[in-house]
Amino acid sequence: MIHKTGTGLFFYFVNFTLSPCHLVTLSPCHLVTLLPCNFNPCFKSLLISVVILALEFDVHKIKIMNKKVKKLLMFSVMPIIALLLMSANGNGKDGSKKGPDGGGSGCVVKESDTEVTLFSMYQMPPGRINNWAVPVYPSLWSGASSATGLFGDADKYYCVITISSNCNDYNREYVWDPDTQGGTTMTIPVPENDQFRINVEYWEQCGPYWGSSNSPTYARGLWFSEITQNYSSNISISSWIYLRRENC
Amino acid sequence: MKKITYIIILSIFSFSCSDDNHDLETEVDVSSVKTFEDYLEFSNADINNKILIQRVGGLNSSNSINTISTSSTIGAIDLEIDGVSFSGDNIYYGDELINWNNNIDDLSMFYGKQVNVNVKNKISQAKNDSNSEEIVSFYIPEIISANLYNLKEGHIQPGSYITWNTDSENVNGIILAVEYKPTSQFSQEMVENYNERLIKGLTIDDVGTYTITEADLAEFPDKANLTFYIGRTGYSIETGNEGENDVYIGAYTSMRADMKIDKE
Repeated sequence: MIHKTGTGLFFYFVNFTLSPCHLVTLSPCHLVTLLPCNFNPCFKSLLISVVILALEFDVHKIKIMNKKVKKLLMFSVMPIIALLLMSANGNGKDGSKKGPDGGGSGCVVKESDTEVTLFSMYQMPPGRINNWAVPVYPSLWSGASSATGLFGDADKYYCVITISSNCNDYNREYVWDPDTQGGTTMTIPVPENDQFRINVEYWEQCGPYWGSSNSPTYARGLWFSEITQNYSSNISISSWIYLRRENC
Repeated sequence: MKKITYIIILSIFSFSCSDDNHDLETEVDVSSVKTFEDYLEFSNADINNKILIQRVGGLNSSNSINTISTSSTIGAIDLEIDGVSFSGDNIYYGDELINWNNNIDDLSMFYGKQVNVNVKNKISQAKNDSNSEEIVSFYIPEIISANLYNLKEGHIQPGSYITWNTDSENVNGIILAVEYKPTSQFSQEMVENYNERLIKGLTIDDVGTYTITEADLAEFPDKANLTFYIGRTGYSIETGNEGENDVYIGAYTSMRADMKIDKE
């Protein structure tokens, strides 16, 4: 894919973050300065420190200035400082250094357990014959464990929970395996100190559930649920969106 | 302010003197966007108060998931969007942050317009000027509605194109992303040969159409089940006195489609 130039703050960040061989910083008079990449990193950081000290000096000086100017300066400086922190650590967005999970190691995810509860829904898409609950009851709750892959057994449901976060390219998948036999909850670790996305995908079993009653089609449907949120000790999945069906 | 500055300086100094290679990627590529949260750049920032408004839909579905998620260091956030109150009923009181996440039946009335968000007892602390209004105003883009065309027997191919409703007020562009997950494949052989998750994304202007190229699909295995995402966002930040009590408010609308690809 080709990256096209866009507008907005997002592009401002990305373009600076991925500057190939230069470190971007602010001079006291708010002008962008470029430092060669082959600068000794310690000298580079020292220079940045001096610049920031000078900048602080300037901030103090402008205290008497218009508040709008001060606000603008603060707003401009903080992201740049964050950027410097990332680039100085060699882990800017999509930096070449990867952590153990394949992502940048600029932050550390602290995990805590949460209890995920799956609720059923009955709203079915067009073409569906049986108005069974999704996820289907009791099959999903009664199995000791799910199939280990969609290819494993077309006659089994398949449900996987994915937890992802931008921090260190965090991505974890958990095949549905309830805490108790026949239970509707599953306890999994999620980031406690960072916003994360929880995505649940549910494939029903293959069966004559689609088409017309006279000539049903054997197929299985896919539903998903998704929310980006902060840590909570329990998460309820109650809304499902139908995506597609696969003929069996 | 001085304390904060010295901490920052020390941090930069200690990080910079590590043995890591400091070179960055040579160009902005499709991997620079991984998720919609990534698109909301400031969602990862160390900000005292965050509010995220979300609407997620599917290509073949008329229903959607609408949620609001908040996080604060000060206390549970009560907010009003255009006069409509939202507060948490499942508040989590952590050591450092107080969060709540609620499913909302419908948030469509707030999309495609400039909204006024009143974060009670928070914005007044965040604003530099105590006389200013206690309201943050920002634009939430139109709910995205997309379709895929030029499919090959229901499969995505090079030359397939996606269209969506444009939003002339949206200055943040559109995010498009494609994801491969081993767990979403029907073929054991596929999983054995390609057992790593792969996600690629790009951002483009909100022009209403994009044609999928051979290069877009080059890294994904043929006949794989892939997930396609499209979305757009709006956000606003109110900065507090000396960087404290900032308030971040973001909103996004996204759609998802799951399809096989056929490169031949």
